[in-house]
Amino acid sequence: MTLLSSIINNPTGLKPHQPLIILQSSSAQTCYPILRNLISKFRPTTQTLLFCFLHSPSNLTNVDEAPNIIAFDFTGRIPGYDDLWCGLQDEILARINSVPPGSLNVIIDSVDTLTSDLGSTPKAYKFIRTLLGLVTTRSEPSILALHLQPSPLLELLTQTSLSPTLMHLTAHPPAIMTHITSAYLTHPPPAGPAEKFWSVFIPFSERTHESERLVYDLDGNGTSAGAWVSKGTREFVVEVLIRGGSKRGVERTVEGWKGDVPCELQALESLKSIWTRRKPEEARPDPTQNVSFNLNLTPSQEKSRAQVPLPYAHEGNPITTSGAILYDPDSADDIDDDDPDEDLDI
Amino acid sequence: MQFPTPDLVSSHRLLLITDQLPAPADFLLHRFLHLHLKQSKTAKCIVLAVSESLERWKSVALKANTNVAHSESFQFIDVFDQHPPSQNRGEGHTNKISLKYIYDLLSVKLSDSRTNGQIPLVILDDITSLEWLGVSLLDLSRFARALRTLCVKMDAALVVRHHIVTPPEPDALLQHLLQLCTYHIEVRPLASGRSGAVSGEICVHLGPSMKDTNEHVISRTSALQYRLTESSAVFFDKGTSTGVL
Repeated sequence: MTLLSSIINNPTGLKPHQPLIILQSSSAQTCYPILRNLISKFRPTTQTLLFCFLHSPSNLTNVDEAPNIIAFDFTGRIPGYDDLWCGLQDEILARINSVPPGSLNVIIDSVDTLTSDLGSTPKAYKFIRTLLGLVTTRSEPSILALHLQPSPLLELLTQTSLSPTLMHLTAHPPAIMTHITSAYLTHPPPAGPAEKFWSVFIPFSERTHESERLVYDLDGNGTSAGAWVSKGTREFVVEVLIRGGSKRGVERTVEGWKGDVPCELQALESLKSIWTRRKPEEARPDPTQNVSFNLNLTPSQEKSRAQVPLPYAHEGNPITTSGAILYDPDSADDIDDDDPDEDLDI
Repeated sequence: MQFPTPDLVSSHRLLLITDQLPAPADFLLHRFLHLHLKQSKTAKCIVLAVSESLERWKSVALKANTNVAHSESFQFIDVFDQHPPSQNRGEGHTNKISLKYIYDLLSVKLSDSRTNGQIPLVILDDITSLEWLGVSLLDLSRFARALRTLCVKMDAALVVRHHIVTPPEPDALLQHLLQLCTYHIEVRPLASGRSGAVSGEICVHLGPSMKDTNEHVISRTSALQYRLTESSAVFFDKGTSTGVL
């Protein structure tokens, strides 16, 4: 069972408990299918509050079928177009405080939209910090799941000062793996050494413009929805980072997502080519075999060849022990034996 | 081969059309207008125009036998002609574009047309020119969100055109629009350069928030090619144009 599937199937089940989950999309690859799946797997007994700023809640969940999920459609609360937007923070906090004690899942579908509406990164950070405080002080294990695109706030949210434990899921286009394999000759584990892979993958993936280039360039597939494979399913690569989990320090893996389920990286169809090793080079074919004419010499032909005088003029002269350049100037040459550097005074 | 497929342009959707300088998507906007007005006598279309004038829309529509000059079903809002009632004359910014005013105007027009049960079509052509004229990215992204929410509320279909200037790297406005869109229609020039037989190619991508579906999707590898003609465009699969074969 992959790490990603264990997170999605039971987000509160990891020991020690991880209250903060960050899902990161980018223009190169969206993480929405993971968020959708995570919400669908929430237990009916756990209360869930879904705050949607960018897309309507129906994109993420079937609101009628899930009585435990209360969705708030804030897509219309836009500064400058709706007068009620400034009370949003207090409204959200009040909603969370009004939930009866017990396990709670709080989801924000677009933290960068919230940040741009609030107008400042520090304000957004303070607000998230308050939210996280409310979630962690509940009596039962609860979760705060944030979906965002790369922004200055992301750096702040991943710091240990906000939360010592963290689950960070980042979506990458499959093109990133094929590119690293072909351009950097680095295969992902288990096909290659893990340390080498991470030392190449981490800096490359942090340069989001590189991933965007891979997708939107002439050779790319031009969409952030994922690579389309057969049967109308999409695939992409997911980088999973768990900090403060059962293993000490940071645990990092790369897994896959196919359709709406997590899978192993090897199961992704678009990445099949990176697992097959190149066959060892066969012995070069001898070009003098299998031709329709005779390339060999008869003995008399060899003798005639040996009698041909070679054009090297100094053949037969003893080889001087020191290397010397023997040059015979012809009529067009202007040879001057004086040393041109005689008047150089260094 | 027909494009667009019949229900690509439908209510609650934001269709983002991106084009590049060698392959402009004007023909597609005019085609959407033509197909929409052809559906029924009571169909309505509202154009928020930034770059093209009313005369041009009228003349191109006439070539496709769509009479928009006197019909009530076509409404034209020139973004630069709209000024909010003078509240702050003293500030001197009388020719500043007020997106909120345009939004309010559109809201009124859409609620007027709501009664007859037809899906109104709103075309914003184009949002990039607004950015080039100095409207800030923040204002534009909020305007796009507001338009989208308004069209969803009023059961309208929204089509937004964006020009791509740096093809391999999406600019900040494009990144915002890509997040919002339901479908992304990409009009690209041929990778091999200009050609007389093929003017360009069209792909349709799913927006990031959409659930998995193959409907309407045209990937880059199986892109639909088109050739511009006098009045509209001809669509064909790759390699099947009579000029190519």
